[in-house]
Amino acid sequence: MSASSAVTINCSAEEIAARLPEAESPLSDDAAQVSLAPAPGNRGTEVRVVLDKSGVGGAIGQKVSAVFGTDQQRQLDDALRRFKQLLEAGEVIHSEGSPEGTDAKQQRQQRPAEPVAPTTTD
Amino acid sequence: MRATCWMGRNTVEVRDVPDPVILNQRDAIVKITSTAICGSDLHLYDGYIPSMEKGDILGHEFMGNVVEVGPGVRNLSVGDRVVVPFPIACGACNACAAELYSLCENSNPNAGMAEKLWGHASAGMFGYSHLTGGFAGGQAEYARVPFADVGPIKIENDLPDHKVLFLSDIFPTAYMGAEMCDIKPGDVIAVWGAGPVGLLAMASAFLLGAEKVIAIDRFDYRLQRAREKTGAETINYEEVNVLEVLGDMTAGRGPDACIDAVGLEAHSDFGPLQLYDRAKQAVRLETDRGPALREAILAVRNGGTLSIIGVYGGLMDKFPIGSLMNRSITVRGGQCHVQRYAKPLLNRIERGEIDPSFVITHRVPLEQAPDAYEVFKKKEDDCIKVVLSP
Repeated sequence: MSASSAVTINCSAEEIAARLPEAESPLSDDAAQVSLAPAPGNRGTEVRVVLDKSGVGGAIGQKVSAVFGTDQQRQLDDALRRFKQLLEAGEVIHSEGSPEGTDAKQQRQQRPAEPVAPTTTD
Repeated sequence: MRATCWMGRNTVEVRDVPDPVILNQRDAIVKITSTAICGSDLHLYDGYIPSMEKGDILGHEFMGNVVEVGPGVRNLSVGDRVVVPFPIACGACNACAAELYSLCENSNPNAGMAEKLWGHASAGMFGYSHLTGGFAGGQAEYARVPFADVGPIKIENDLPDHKVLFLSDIFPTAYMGAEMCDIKPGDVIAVWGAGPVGLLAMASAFLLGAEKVIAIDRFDYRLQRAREKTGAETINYEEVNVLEVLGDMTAGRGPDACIDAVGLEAHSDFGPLQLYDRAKQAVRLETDRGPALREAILAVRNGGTLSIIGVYGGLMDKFPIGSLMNRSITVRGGQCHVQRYAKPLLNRIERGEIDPSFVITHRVPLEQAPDAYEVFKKKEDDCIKVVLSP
Protein backbone atom coordinates (compact mmCIF):
# COMPACT_ATOMS: atom_id res chain seq x y z
CA MET A 1 0.00 0.00 0.00
CA SER A 2 1.45 3.30 -0.99
CA ALA A 3 0.18 6.83 -1.03
CA SER A 4 1.47 10.02 -2.52
CA SER A 5 0.56 13.66 -2.26
CA ALA A 6 1.91 17.02 -3.35
CA VAL A 7 1.44 20.66 -2.44
CA THR A 8 3.06 24.02 -3.13
CA ILE A 9 4.18 25.93 -0.05
CA ASN A 10 5.15 29.58 -0.28
CA CYS A 11 8.37 29.10 1.72
CA SER A 12 11.97 28.22 0.90
CA ALA A 13 13.10 24.60 0.69
CA GLU A 14 15.49 25.27 3.59
CA GLU A 15 12.70 26.41 5.88
CA ILE A 16 10.48 23.49 4.89
CA ALA A 17 13.26 20.98 5.50
CA ALA A 18 14.05 22.53 8.85
CA ARG A 19 10.46 22.36 10.02
CA LEU A 20 9.58 18.93 8.65
CA PRO A 21 9.99 17.39 12.13
CA GLU A 22 6.94 19.45 13.22
CA ALA A 23 4.76 17.63 10.67
CA GLU A 24 2.18 15.09 11.81
CA SER A 25 2.07 11.40 10.99
CA PRO A 26 2.24 9.94 8.38
CA LEU A 27 4.11 12.90 6.84
CA SER A 28 6.59 12.71 9.70
CA ASP A 29 7.02 8.94 9.48
CA ASP A 30 10.32 7.41 8.43
CA ALA A 31 8.45 5.75 5.54
CA ALA A 32 7.56 9.17 4.08
CA GLN A 33 9.95 10.16 1.32
CA VAL A 34 9.78 13.92 0.89
CA SER A 35 11.22 15.69 -2.12
CA LEU A 36 11.49 19.45 -2.46
CA ALA A 37 11.87 21.47 -5.65
CA PRO A 38 11.55 25.18 -6.41
CA ALA A 39 8.06 26.10 -7.63
CA PRO A 40 8.24 27.97 -10.95
CA GLY A 41 7.45 31.66 -10.93
CA ASN A 42 8.82 32.37 -7.45
CA ARG A 43 5.95 30.57 -5.79
CA GLY A 44 7.97 28.86 -3.11
CA THR A 45 8.57 25.14 -3.06
CA GLU A 46 6.89 22.09 -4.54
CA VAL A 47 6.61 19.44 -1.85
CA ARG A 48 6.06 15.87 -2.98
CA VAL A 49 5.61 12.99 -0.59
CA VAL A 50 5.57 9.26 -1.25
CA LEU A 51 4.57 6.96 1.56
CA ASP A 52 5.37 3.31 1.13
CA LYS A 53 4.44 1.01 3.95
CA SER A 54 1.91 -1.66 4.76
CA GLY A 55 -1.06 -0.49 6.74
CA VAL A 56 -2.28 -2.16 9.88
CA GLY A 57 -4.29 -5.30 9.20
CA GLY A 58 -2.90 -6.13 5.78
CA ALA A 59 -5.02 -6.09 2.64
CA ILE A 60 -8.36 -6.57 4.38
CA GLY A 61 -7.50 -3.94 6.95
CA GLN A 62 -6.71 -1.50 4.18
CA LYS A 63 -10.08 -2.08 2.53
CA VAL A 64 -11.87 -1.59 5.84
CA SER A 65 -9.83 1.55 6.44
CA ALA A 66 -10.68 2.89 3.00
CA VAL A 67 -14.39 2.48 3.66
CA PHE A 68 -14.17 4.27 6.98
CA GLY A 69 -11.87 6.97 5.73
CA THR A 70 -8.81 6.20 7.81
CA ASP A 71 -6.61 5.12 4.95
CA GLN A 72 -3.11 6.38 4.45
CA GLN A 73 -3.88 8.52 1.42
CA ARG A 74 -6.37 10.64 3.34
CA GLN A 75 -4.13 10.83 6.36
CA LEU A 76 -1.22 11.91 4.19
CA ASP A 77 -3.32 14.52 2.36
CA ASP A 78 -4.52 15.89 5.70
CA ALA A 79 -1.03 15.95 7.20
CA LEU A 80 0.33 17.81 4.18
CA ARG A 81 -2.47 20.40 4.27
CA ARG A 82 -1.94 20.92 7.99
CA PHE A 83 1.81 21.26 7.49
CA LYS A 84 1.22 23.88 4.79
CA GLN A 85 -1.10 25.80 7.13
CA LEU A 86 1.50 25.61 9.89
CA LEU A 87 4.24 27.01 7.68
CA GLU A 88 2.29 29.67 5.81
CA ALA A 89 -0.37 30.71 8.30
CA GLY A 90 1.51 29.89 11.50
CA GLU A 91 -0.98 27.38 12.83
CA VAL A 92 -3.64 24.87 11.85
CA ILE A 93 -6.90 26.71 11.18
CA HIS A 94 -9.99 25.70 13.14
CA SER A 95 -13.59 26.28 12.12
CA GLU A 96 -16.75 25.66 14.07
CA GLY A 97 -17.69 22.85 11.65
CA SER A 98 -14.18 21.36 11.78
CA PRO A 99 -12.94 22.33 15.26
CA GLU A 100 -9.97 19.96 15.00
CA GLY A 101 -8.92 21.55 11.71
CA THR A 102 -8.45 19.79 8.40
CA ASP A 103 -9.51 16.17 8.82
CA ALA A 104 -11.01 14.20 5.93
CA LYS A 105 -13.02 12.04 8.28
CA GLN A 106 -14.53 15.06 10.02
CA GLN A 107 -15.45 16.59 6.68
CA ARG A 108 -18.13 13.95 6.35
CA GLN A 109 -19.39 14.41 9.89
CA GLN A 110 -19.42 18.16 10.36
CA ARG A 111 -20.69 19.70 13.54
CA PRO A 112 -22.98 22.71 13.01
CA ALA A 113 -21.22 26.01 12.37
CA GLU A 114 -22.01 27.46 15.77
CA PRO A 115 -19.48 28.38 18.46
CA VAL A 116 -17.61 25.63 20.18
CA ALA A 117 -18.44 25.75 23.88
CA PRO A 118 -15.31 26.16 26.01
CA THR A 119 -14.10 22.77 27.19
CA THR A 120 -11.85 23.98 29.98
CA THR A 121 -12.39 26.41 32.80
CA ASP A 122 -9.70 28.28 34.63
CA MET B 1 -25.70 34.82 22.53
CA ARG B 2 -28.50 35.07 19.99
CA ALA B 3 -27.79 33.97 16.44
CA THR B 4 -29.64 33.38 13.17
CA CYS B 5 -29.43 29.66 12.48
CA TRP B 6 -30.24 27.65 9.35
CA MET B 7 -32.59 24.89 10.47
CA GLY B 8 -33.40 23.35 7.12
CA ARG B 9 -34.76 24.45 3.79
CA ASN B 10 -36.79 27.68 4.10
CA THR B 11 -36.34 27.75 7.86
CA VAL B 12 -34.17 30.04 9.94
CA GLU B 13 -34.52 30.60 13.67
CA VAL B 14 -32.92 33.07 16.04
CA ARG B 15 -31.60 30.80 18.78
CA ASP B 16 -29.44 30.77 21.89
CA VAL B 17 -25.96 29.43 21.11
CA PRO B 18 -22.66 29.55 23.03
CA ASP B 19 -20.64 32.76 22.78
CA PRO B 20 -17.66 32.41 20.43
CA VAL B 21 -14.22 31.84 21.91
CA ILE B 22 -10.74 32.29 20.47
CA LEU B 23 -9.75 29.07 18.67
CA ASN B 24 -6.69 30.34 16.77
CA GLN B 25 -3.97 32.75 17.81
CA ARG B 26 -4.85 35.14 15.00
CA ASP B 27 -8.58 35.25 15.90
CA ALA B 28 -10.52 38.24 17.15
CA ILE B 29 -13.99 38.29 18.65
CA VAL B 30 -16.23 41.04 17.32
CA LYS B 31 -19.39 42.32 19.01
CA ILE B 32 -21.62 42.93 16.03
CA THR B 33 -23.37 46.27 15.64
CA SER B 34 -24.80 45.79 12.14
CA THR B 35 -25.20 42.81 9.84
CA ALA B 36 -27.10 42.19 6.64
CA ILE B 37 -28.89 39.49 4.70
CA CYS B 38 -27.24 38.89 1.35
CA GLY B 39 -28.98 37.72 -1.80
CA SER B 40 -26.62 34.76 -1.72
CA ASP B 41 -28.02 33.85 1.73
CA LEU B 42 -31.24 33.08 -0.10
CA HIS B 43 -29.43 30.31 -2.01
CA LEU B 44 -28.71 28.72 1.39
CA TYR B 45 -32.21 29.47 2.68
CA ASP B 46 -33.73 27.85 -0.38
CA GLY B 47 -31.48 24.82 -0.05
CA TYR B 48 -29.50 25.11 -3.28
CA ILE B 49 -25.99 25.14 -1.81
CA PRO B 50 -24.90 21.68 -0.66
CA SER B 51 -23.25 20.87 2.66
CA MET B 52 -25.38 22.91 5.06
CA GLU B 53 -25.90 21.51 8.56
CA LYS B 54 -28.89 22.12 10.80
CA GLY B 55 -27.87 24.81 13.26
CA ASP B 56 -25.36 26.63 11.06
CA ILE B 57 -25.15 30.33 11.92
CA LEU B 58 -25.76 32.38 8.78
CA GLY B 59 -24.39 35.74 7.75
CA HIS B 60 -21.27 36.99 6.02
CA GLU B 61 -21.86 40.76 5.98
CA PHE B 62 -21.12 42.22 9.39
CA MET B 63 -19.27 44.87 11.35
CA GLY B 64 -18.81 45.76 14.97
CA ASN B 65 -16.36 46.37 17.77
CA VAL B 66 -13.42 44.18 18.70
CA VAL B 67 -13.92 42.77 22.20
CA GLU B 68 -11.06 40.24 22.32
CA VAL B 69 -7.96 39.48 20.27
CA GLY B 70 -5.79 36.39 20.13
CA PRO B 71 -2.06 36.62 20.93
CA GLY B 72 -1.20 36.62 17.20
CA VAL B 73 -3.16 39.79 16.40
CA ARG B 74 -1.08 42.93 16.77
CA ASN B 75 -2.82 45.42 14.49
CA LEU B 76 -6.17 45.42 16.29
CA SER B 77 -7.08 46.35 19.84
CA VAL B 78 -10.14 45.90 21.99
CA GLY B 79 -12.57 48.67 21.12
CA ASP B 80 -11.55 49.04 17.47
CA ARG B 81 -14.46 49.45 15.09
CA VAL B 82 -14.11 47.09 12.14
CA VAL B 83 -15.86 45.85 9.00
CA VAL B 84 -15.15 42.17 8.34
CA PRO B 85 -14.63 40.87 4.77
CA PHE B 86 -16.61 37.72 4.03
CA PRO B 87 -13.66 35.67 2.69
CA ILE B 88 -11.25 34.43 5.34
CA ALA B 89 -7.64 34.79 4.17
CA CYS B 90 -4.28 33.96 5.75
CA GLY B 91 -2.31 36.66 3.92
CA ALA B 92 0.71 34.41 3.34
CA CYS B 93 -0.06 31.74 0.72
CA ASN B 94 0.47 32.22 -3.00
CA ALA B 95 -3.18 33.18 -3.57
CA CYS B 96 -3.07 35.87 -0.88
CA ALA B 97 0.31 37.07 -2.17
CA ALA B 98 -1.42 37.60 -5.53
CA GLU B 99 -4.29 39.42 -3.75
CA LEU B 100 -6.69 36.61 -4.67
CA TYR B 101 -7.97 36.48 -1.11
CA SER B 102 -11.17 34.53 -1.78
CA LEU B 103 -8.89 31.73 -3.00
CA CYS B 104 -6.76 31.57 0.15
CA GLU B 105 -5.17 28.14 0.29
CA ASN B 106 -5.15 27.82 4.06
CA SER B 107 -8.41 29.19 5.45
CA ASN B 108 -10.75 26.39 4.40
CA PRO B 109 -10.31 23.35 6.64
CA ASN B 110 -12.79 21.50 4.42
CA ALA B 111 -10.88 22.17 1.21
CA GLY B 112 -10.97 18.46 0.37
CA MET B 113 -14.77 18.56 0.29
CA ALA B 114 -14.80 21.52 -2.10
CA GLU B 115 -12.16 19.95 -4.35
CA LYS B 116 -14.46 17.02 -5.05
CA LEU B 117 -17.11 19.41 -6.43
CA TRP B 118 -15.00 22.19 -7.92
CA GLY B 119 -11.62 20.64 -8.72
CA HIS B 120 -9.87 23.11 -6.42
CA ALA B 121 -11.18 24.77 -3.26
CA SER B 122 -12.06 28.36 -2.46
CA ALA B 123 -11.15 30.16 0.74
CA GLY B 124 -13.04 29.75 3.96
CA MET B 125 -16.05 32.06 4.23
CA PHE B 126 -18.29 33.08 7.10
CA GLY B 127 -21.67 31.41 7.38
CA TYR B 128 -21.67 29.95 3.91
CA SER B 129 -21.95 26.16 4.11
CA HIS B 130 -19.34 23.59 5.00
CA LEU B 131 -17.84 23.58 1.50
CA THR B 132 -16.37 26.93 2.47
CA GLY B 133 -15.11 25.73 5.82
CA GLY B 134 -18.03 25.48 8.21
CA PHE B 135 -17.41 28.86 9.84
CA ALA B 136 -20.10 30.38 12.05
CA GLY B 137 -21.56 33.49 10.45
CA GLY B 138 -22.27 37.04 11.53
CA GLN B 139 -26.05 37.33 11.78
CA ALA B 140 -25.51 37.10 15.50
CA GLU B 141 -24.46 39.13 18.52
CA TYR B 142 -20.81 38.07 18.28
CA ALA B 143 -18.54 36.41 15.76
CA ARG B 144 -15.10 34.83 15.85
CA VAL B 145 -12.97 36.33 13.08
CA PRO B 146 -10.01 34.17 12.01
CA PHE B 147 -6.90 35.86 10.56
CA ALA B 148 -8.10 39.11 12.11
CA ASP B 149 -4.71 40.64 11.31
CA VAL B 150 -5.46 40.30 7.56
CA GLY B 151 -9.18 40.78 7.00
CA PRO B 152 -10.95 43.37 9.14
CA ILE B 153 -10.70 46.96 8.03
CA LYS B 154 -10.62 49.57 10.79
CA ILE B 155 -13.15 52.38 10.56
CA GLU B 156 -11.52 55.41 12.12
CA ASN B 157 -14.03 58.01 11.04
CA ASP B 158 -17.53 58.71 12.33
CA LEU B 159 -19.39 57.40 9.29
CA PRO B 160 -22.48 55.53 10.48
CA ASP B 161 -22.63 51.73 10.16
CA HIS B 162 -24.98 51.72 7.19
CA LYS B 163 -22.55 53.68 5.04
CA VAL B 164 -19.60 51.30 5.58
CA LEU B 165 -21.25 47.94 6.38
CA PHE B 166 -21.36 46.90 2.72
CA LEU B 167 -17.56 47.00 2.47
CA SER B 168 -17.90 43.48 3.93
CA ASP B 169 -19.22 42.07 0.66
CA ILE B 170 -21.69 43.65 -1.71
CA PHE B 171 -19.93 46.91 -2.56
CA PRO B 172 -16.52 45.30 -3.27
CA THR B 173 -18.28 42.41 -5.03
CA ALA B 174 -20.16 44.82 -7.26
CA TYR B 175 -17.09 46.97 -7.84
CA MET B 176 -15.00 43.94 -8.79
CA GLY B 177 -17.79 42.92 -11.16
CA ALA B 178 -17.51 46.28 -12.89
CA GLU B 179 -13.71 46.28 -12.77
CA MET B 180 -13.62 42.88 -14.50
CA CYS B 181 -15.42 44.54 -17.45
CA ASP B 182 -12.24 46.49 -18.16
CA ILE B 183 -14.36 49.55 -18.97
CA LYS B 184 -13.09 51.92 -21.67
CA PRO B 185 -14.51 55.32 -22.70
CA GLY B 186 -17.76 54.87 -24.57
CA ASP B 187 -18.50 51.42 -23.15
CA VAL B 188 -22.06 50.26 -22.59
CA ILE B 189 -22.47 47.87 -19.66
CA ALA B 190 -25.56 45.71 -19.12
CA VAL B 191 -26.31 44.36 -15.65
CA TRP B 192 -28.65 41.42 -15.07
CA GLY B 193 -30.30 41.78 -11.67
CA ALA B 194 -31.20 45.05 -9.94
CA GLY B 195 -30.81 43.68 -6.45
CA PRO B 196 -28.25 45.13 -4.01
CA VAL B 197 -25.18 43.81 -5.86
CA GLY B 198 -26.59 44.69 -9.27
CA LEU B 199 -27.44 48.25 -8.18
CA LEU B 200 -23.96 48.75 -6.73
CA ALA B 201 -22.43 47.24 -9.89
CA MET B 202 -24.31 49.83 -11.95
CA ALA B 203 -23.03 52.64 -9.74
CA SER B 204 -19.51 51.15 -9.88
CA ALA B 205 -19.61 50.91 -13.69
CA PHE B 206 -20.30 54.64 -13.82
CA LEU B 207 -17.50 55.28 -11.28
CA LEU B 208 -15.18 53.41 -13.64
CA GLY B 209 -16.20 55.48 -16.65
CA ALA B 210 -19.02 53.65 -18.40
CA GLU B 211 -20.88 55.70 -21.00
CA LYS B 212 -24.17 53.95 -20.44
CA VAL B 213 -25.43 51.30 -18.02
CA ILE B 214 -28.50 49.16 -18.66
CA ALA B 215 -30.32 47.35 -15.85
CA ILE B 216 -32.34 44.19 -16.53
CA ASP B 217 -34.87 42.93 -13.97
CA ARG B 218 -38.58 42.23 -13.71
CA PHE B 219 -39.45 44.22 -10.57
CA ASP B 220 -40.39 47.79 -11.37
CA TYR B 221 -39.52 49.03 -7.86
CA ARG B 222 -35.96 47.77 -8.33
CA LEU B 223 -35.67 49.18 -11.84
CA GLN B 224 -36.95 52.50 -10.53
CA ARG B 225 -34.20 52.54 -7.90
CA ALA B 226 -31.68 51.74 -10.63
CA ARG B 227 -32.85 54.73 -12.68
CA GLU B 228 -33.09 57.12 -9.75
CA LYS B 229 -30.01 56.19 -7.76
CA THR B 230 -27.51 55.07 -10.37
CA GLY B 231 -28.58 56.72 -13.62
CA ALA B 232 -28.97 53.40 -15.41
CA GLU B 233 -31.48 52.86 -18.19
CA THR B 234 -33.75 49.92 -17.56
CA ILE B 235 -35.35 46.92 -19.25
CA ASN B 236 -38.17 44.91 -17.70
CA TYR B 237 -37.64 41.48 -19.19
CA GLU B 238 -41.25 40.48 -18.61
CA GLU B 239 -42.42 43.26 -20.90
CA VAL B 240 -40.01 43.15 -23.84
CA ASN B 241 -37.51 40.91 -25.60
CA VAL B 242 -34.22 41.74 -23.89
CA LEU B 243 -31.96 40.80 -26.79
CA GLU B 244 -33.98 42.90 -29.21
CA VAL B 245 -34.00 45.93 -26.95
CA LEU B 246 -30.29 45.66 -26.17
CA GLY B 247 -29.59 45.35 -29.88
CA ASP B 248 -31.60 48.48 -30.51
CA MET B 249 -29.97 50.44 -27.66
CA THR B 250 -26.48 49.58 -28.94
CA ALA B 251 -27.27 49.81 -32.67
CA GLY B 252 -26.73 46.12 -33.16
CA ARG B 253 -23.38 45.81 -31.37
CA GLY B 254 -24.58 44.45 -28.07
CA PRO B 255 -23.26 45.68 -24.70
CA ASP B 256 -19.47 45.84 -24.44
CA ALA B 257 -19.69 43.88 -21.21
CA CYS B 258 -22.45 42.04 -19.37
CA ILE B 259 -22.53 41.56 -15.60
CA ASP B 260 -24.45 38.64 -14.11
CA ALA B 261 -25.58 39.81 -10.67
CA VAL B 262 -28.27 37.16 -10.42
CA GLY B 263 -26.73 33.76 -9.78
CA LEU B 264 -28.06 30.28 -9.52
CA GLU B 265 -31.73 30.95 -8.82
CA ALA B 266 -32.37 33.02 -11.90
CA HIS B 267 -35.97 33.39 -12.93
CA SER B 268 -37.26 33.62 -16.46
CA ASP B 269 -40.59 33.65 -18.20
CA PHE B 270 -42.14 30.32 -17.67
CA GLY B 271 -40.78 28.72 -20.84
CA PRO B 272 -39.70 25.17 -21.49
CA LEU B 273 -36.11 25.85 -20.46
CA GLN B 274 -37.18 27.23 -17.08
CA LEU B 275 -39.31 24.12 -16.53
CA TYR B 276 -36.35 21.95 -17.54
CA ASP B 277 -34.00 23.74 -15.09
CA ARG B 278 -36.48 23.62 -12.22
CA ALA B 279 -37.20 19.94 -12.76
CA LYS B 280 -33.52 19.02 -12.84
CA GLN B 281 -32.77 21.23 -9.81
CA ALA B 282 -35.60 19.61 -7.88
CA VAL B 283 -33.99 16.19 -8.19
CA ARG B 284 -30.50 17.65 -7.82
CA LEU B 285 -29.33 16.67 -11.32
CA GLU B 286 -28.51 20.33 -11.87
CA THR B 287 -27.72 22.74 -9.06
CA ASP B 288 -27.78 26.01 -10.94
CA ARG B 289 -30.41 27.36 -13.27
CA GLY B 290 -29.17 29.83 -15.77
CA PRO B 291 -31.54 31.97 -17.84
CA ALA B 292 -29.78 35.22 -16.88
CA LEU B 293 -26.30 33.90 -17.63
CA ARG B 294 -27.42 32.33 -20.91
CA GLU B 295 -29.04 35.57 -22.00
CA ALA B 296 -26.01 37.63 -20.97
CA ILE B 297 -23.76 35.45 -23.13
CA LEU B 298 -26.01 35.83 -26.17
CA ALA B 299 -26.33 39.58 -25.60
CA VAL B 300 -22.70 40.64 -25.23
CA ARG B 301 -21.01 42.08 -28.30
CA ASN B 302 -18.50 40.10 -30.34
CA GLY B 303 -15.23 40.12 -28.45
CA GLY B 304 -16.98 41.46 -25.33
CA THR B 305 -16.67 40.49 -21.69
CA LEU B 306 -18.93 38.49 -19.41
CA SER B 307 -18.44 39.27 -15.71
CA ILE B 308 -20.02 36.75 -13.33
CA ILE B 309 -20.51 37.86 -9.73
CA GLY B 310 -23.86 36.19 -9.08
CA VAL B 311 -23.16 33.06 -7.05
CA TYR B 312 -23.25 29.62 -8.64
CA GLY B 313 -22.76 26.40 -6.71
CA GLY B 314 -22.25 23.50 -9.05
CA LEU B 315 -23.50 22.53 -12.47
CA MET B 316 -25.62 24.17 -15.15
CA ASP B 317 -27.15 22.67 -18.27
CA LYS B 318 -27.73 24.20 -21.71
CA PHE B 319 -24.70 26.43 -21.46
CA PRO B 320 -24.27 28.32 -24.77
CA ILE B 321 -20.66 27.42 -25.27
CA GLY B 322 -20.92 27.83 -29.06
CA SER B 323 -21.81 31.51 -28.75
CA LEU B 324 -19.06 32.01 -26.23
CA MET B 325 -16.35 30.33 -28.28
CA ASN B 326 -17.22 31.50 -31.77
CA ARG B 327 -17.61 35.14 -30.72
CA SER B 328 -14.36 35.51 -28.78
CA ILE B 329 -16.05 36.32 -25.48
CA THR B 330 -13.92 36.79 -22.39
CA VAL B 331 -15.38 35.26 -19.23
CA ARG B 332 -14.36 36.56 -15.81
CA GLY B 333 -15.80 35.82 -12.44
CA GLY B 334 -15.08 35.09 -8.85
CA GLN B 335 -16.00 35.47 -5.25
CA CYS B 336 -14.77 38.94 -4.40
CA HIS B 337 -11.24 39.42 -3.11
CA VAL B 338 -12.66 41.85 -0.57
CA GLN B 339 -9.37 42.50 1.24
CA ARG B 340 -8.01 44.00 -2.01
CA TYR B 341 -10.86 46.49 -2.37
CA ALA B 342 -12.01 47.42 1.14
CA LYS B 343 -9.56 50.24 1.81
CA PRO B 344 -9.74 52.01 -1.58
CA LEU B 345 -13.53 51.74 -1.54
CA LEU B 346 -13.66 53.09 2.02
CA ASN B 347 -11.71 56.05 0.67
CA ARG B 348 -14.29 56.54 -2.08
CA ILE B 349 -17.07 56.56 0.54
CA GLU B 350 -15.11 59.02 2.71
CA ARG B 351 -14.62 61.32 -0.29
CA GLY B 352 -18.36 61.22 -0.95
CA GLU B 353 -18.03 59.62 -4.38
CA ILE B 354 -20.62 57.01 -3.46
CA ASP B 355 -22.92 56.13 -0.58
CA PRO B 356 -23.69 52.40 -0.85
CA SER B 357 -26.54 52.69 1.67
CA PHE B 358 -28.90 53.67 -1.17
CA VAL B 359 -29.76 49.96 -1.54
CA ILE B 360 -31.19 49.64 2.01
CA THR B 361 -34.97 49.30 2.29
CA HIS B 362 -35.41 47.51 5.63
CA ARG B 363 -33.78 47.85 9.04
CA VAL B 364 -34.99 45.41 11.68
CA PRO B 365 -33.77 43.88 14.95
CA LEU B 366 -31.87 40.58 14.70
CA GLU B 367 -34.80 38.83 16.37
CA GLN B 368 -36.89 39.53 13.27
CA ALA B 369 -34.46 37.76 10.92
CA PRO B 370 -36.86 34.89 10.09
CA ASP B 371 -39.52 37.33 8.87
CA ALA B 372 -36.91 39.37 7.05
CA TYR B 373 -35.71 36.29 5.13
CA GLU B 374 -39.28 35.66 3.97
CA VAL B 375 -39.91 39.27 2.96
CA PHE B 376 -36.58 39.42 1.11
CA LYS B 377 -37.10 36.08 -0.60
CA LYS B 378 -40.61 36.91 -1.76
CA LYS B 379 -39.66 40.50 -2.61
CA GLU B 380 -42.56 41.75 -0.55
CA ASP B 381 -42.88 45.32 0.65
CA ASP B 382 -40.51 46.50 -2.13
CA CYS B 383 -37.64 44.83 -0.30
CA ILE B 384 -34.13 45.26 -1.71
CA LYS B 385 -31.73 45.09 1.24
CA VAL B 386 -32.24 44.17 4.88
CA VAL B 387 -29.93 45.34 7.66
CA LEU B 388 -30.22 43.59 11.02
CA SER B 389 -29.28 45.10 14.37
CA PRO B 390 -28.27 42.62 17.09
